[in-house]
Amino acid sequence: MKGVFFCMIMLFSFQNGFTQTDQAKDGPDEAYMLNFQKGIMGIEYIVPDISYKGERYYNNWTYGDIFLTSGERITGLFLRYEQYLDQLLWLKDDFRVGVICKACIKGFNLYNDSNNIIASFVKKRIKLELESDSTECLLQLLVNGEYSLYARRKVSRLPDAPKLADDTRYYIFNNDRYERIKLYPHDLLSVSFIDKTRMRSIIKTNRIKLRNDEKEFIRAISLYNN
Amino acid sequence: MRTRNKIQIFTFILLIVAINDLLIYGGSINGSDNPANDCEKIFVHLDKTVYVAGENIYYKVYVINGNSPLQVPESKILYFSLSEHKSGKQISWRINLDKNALHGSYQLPENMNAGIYQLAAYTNRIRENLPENIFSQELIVLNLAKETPDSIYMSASDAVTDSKSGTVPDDQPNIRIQSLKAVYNTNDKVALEITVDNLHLNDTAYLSLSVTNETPFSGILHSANIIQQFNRIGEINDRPCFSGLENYTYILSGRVLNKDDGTPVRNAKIFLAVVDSVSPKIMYTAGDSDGNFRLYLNQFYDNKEIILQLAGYAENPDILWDIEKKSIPDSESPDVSLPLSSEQVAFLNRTKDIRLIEAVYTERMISKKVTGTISGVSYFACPDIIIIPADYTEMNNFKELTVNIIPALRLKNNYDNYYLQLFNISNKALSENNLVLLNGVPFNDINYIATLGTRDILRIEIINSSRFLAGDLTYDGVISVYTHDNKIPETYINSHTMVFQNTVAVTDAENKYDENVVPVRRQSRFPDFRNNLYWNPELKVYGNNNKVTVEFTTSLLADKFNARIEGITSSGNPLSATVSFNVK
Repeated sequence: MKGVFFCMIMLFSFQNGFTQTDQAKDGPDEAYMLNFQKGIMGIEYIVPDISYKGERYYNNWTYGDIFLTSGERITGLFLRYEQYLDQLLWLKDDFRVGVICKACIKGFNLYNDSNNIIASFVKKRIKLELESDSTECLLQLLVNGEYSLYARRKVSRLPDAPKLADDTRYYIFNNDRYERIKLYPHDLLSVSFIDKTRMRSIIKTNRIKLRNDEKEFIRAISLYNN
Repeated sequence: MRTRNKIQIFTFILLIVAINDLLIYGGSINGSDNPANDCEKIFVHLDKTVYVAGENIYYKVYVINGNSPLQVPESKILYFSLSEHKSGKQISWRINLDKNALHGSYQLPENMNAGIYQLAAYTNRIRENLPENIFSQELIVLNLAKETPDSIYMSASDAVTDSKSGTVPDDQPNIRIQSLKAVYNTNDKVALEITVDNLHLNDTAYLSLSVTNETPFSGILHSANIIQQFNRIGEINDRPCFSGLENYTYILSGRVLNKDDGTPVRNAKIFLAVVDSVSPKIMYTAGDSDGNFRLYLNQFYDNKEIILQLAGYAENPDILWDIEKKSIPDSESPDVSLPLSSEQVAFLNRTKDIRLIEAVYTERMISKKVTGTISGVSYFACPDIIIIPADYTEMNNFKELTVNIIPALRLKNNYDNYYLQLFNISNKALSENNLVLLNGVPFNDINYIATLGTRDILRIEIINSSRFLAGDLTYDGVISVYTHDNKIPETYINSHTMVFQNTVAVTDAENKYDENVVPVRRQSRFPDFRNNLYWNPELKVYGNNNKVTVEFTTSLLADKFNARIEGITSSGNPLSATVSFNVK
């Protein structure tokens, strides 16, 4: 029995050794990425007003990838999403913080310490309230499919207190069409391109409780896509 | 007891999984899955072997990964070089590789010398690791403006032809080509039947067919077929390929050296730019302590004039740019002069005459340029201030512009040297540390900018809300000037920059070869003496119907013609066949 265990340990360590050797050969990819990482440009980020309470940033500094409009992908950057200004920040080696120009990216991914994606943001053109023209915003992709759900992670200043409050807006997309929805069953059922009867049936069958629950909304739209 | 048994079973399963994983990994190290051993195999099928300067070389390229032919080649760039044996002069171009078989063309320069040339095709990986794998083929190039040579120079080693086996095993796909008649009349309809045997039902053969007149240079212009080429490589391809892989895009690499003593410029900060009227498409990189640098250029930079310069130098730095040309060394074997027979000279003269007739009578096809979909990255897309001088009253120079319509910008003069000061909003101060761009290119000659007025300048864009970070450089602001002529002064280009022509030949869909595929019925009335009767790089034979027939017409040229078909199946098997017929 002990012998078998010993054999196993030896085999696993031998195999692990092979894997590490193989990674070391991965030269071109590293050089390629380093070239892009070192070459990023953008304006320096200045915190506009630090006296406001509340969370200005969607995340702490985490590793992430950005997808450039040219089709390239830059991995291994320290990224942070600034919710108030709707800007993507990157932390340089010299600890300066830059703003990556929204026009040059298609989207970005954020990863946790275990290298799992915690959020994917995609640049989308939407029409904001009180604005006459549409504008490009970074929206978090919650459900991807024929019917996609996006969240605009926005924080707003409260009118009567020096505080930033969560003001996340949700958008449901079907090809080029989109509608803004609130996290209420009525809003979801009144989306023009969603089949009310089918959605009602999905909600009922799966016992989905939609009231102000993002996760349940994600579940409902994911099931609707299937 | 039961628990112990369960643990034993569990341990046994784990042991099997571990052994299995190890075997798989070991297999991939030595076997076909290891990309490091997959140095590419290359074969180029040309439409003919005798050209006249100014003509197009039409070619079909077959590239497969050495040990895993089904995969798309790892290298994304294929280089061509055409070297003259006598003078050693080399012409180079490159194409983007995105599949195993693709075709293209290259127009030979009008001023080429007449003589024997060696066409080489290689990837950077092959060039660095396995120069034996470089595909090479001898060509003759003539020049209408020059006398036909009576002797030719060629490498002594090229006289030795490689005649390894070109046969295929019985169970492998095999190609046959048959002519319906052995002799045709001039202006007659020719039909060639192409059959691929042993082709699997779901397999496809990608083929190219050339029909050209026989040359009296068969001993000199030896050309291996695709089977010989791939078999030959198979024998020598036992060394791994670890370096030089361009698996993403073209790598522009080189060194920056001091002009005086040739020592490397340490940690050089380098800007790469192209002239652009919309937004700056700048790349930044930092060199190492040996002056080496590299930049990865995507297809946006194809066929553009690349401008390289050092960042952070107000004055013109005295430096040398040593750009890696990625060329192959000249053959070390001595050149020998071979006298041409009267038959060979007559053939060359006739080829020139035919080219002259074609040049006079053939209507030029003007093809539309296909615009690329890949864009460059602009990190400068959100300027804080945009000024269009034409919106204001006319001003003669930049000083007047800054004083009257750009209060954040000041043009100052110090002993006849102008410099710009920009008001930075975050610092609330004027600063001279700005990145100045002219038509998208970093530009330090402020004396030139000072001369520009309303009539010259189309638009001025300014970033001054915050500092601008470019790699490890920091600027207090960006001033971007766009002129109507969208040009950079020649004097600045010559003194401050290194210009690199990023020439890439078009391939496949971008490239029209229609002029060489002659319809069955001739519609044109010009004297038709074509010596290249047919070229089709996009023939396909499918497994469910393993036959295809091609038809074309002969010209007024009475001679012996050779039809040569080369190709590859989608499972990676090379195919080659020839047939000859006479035209009387």
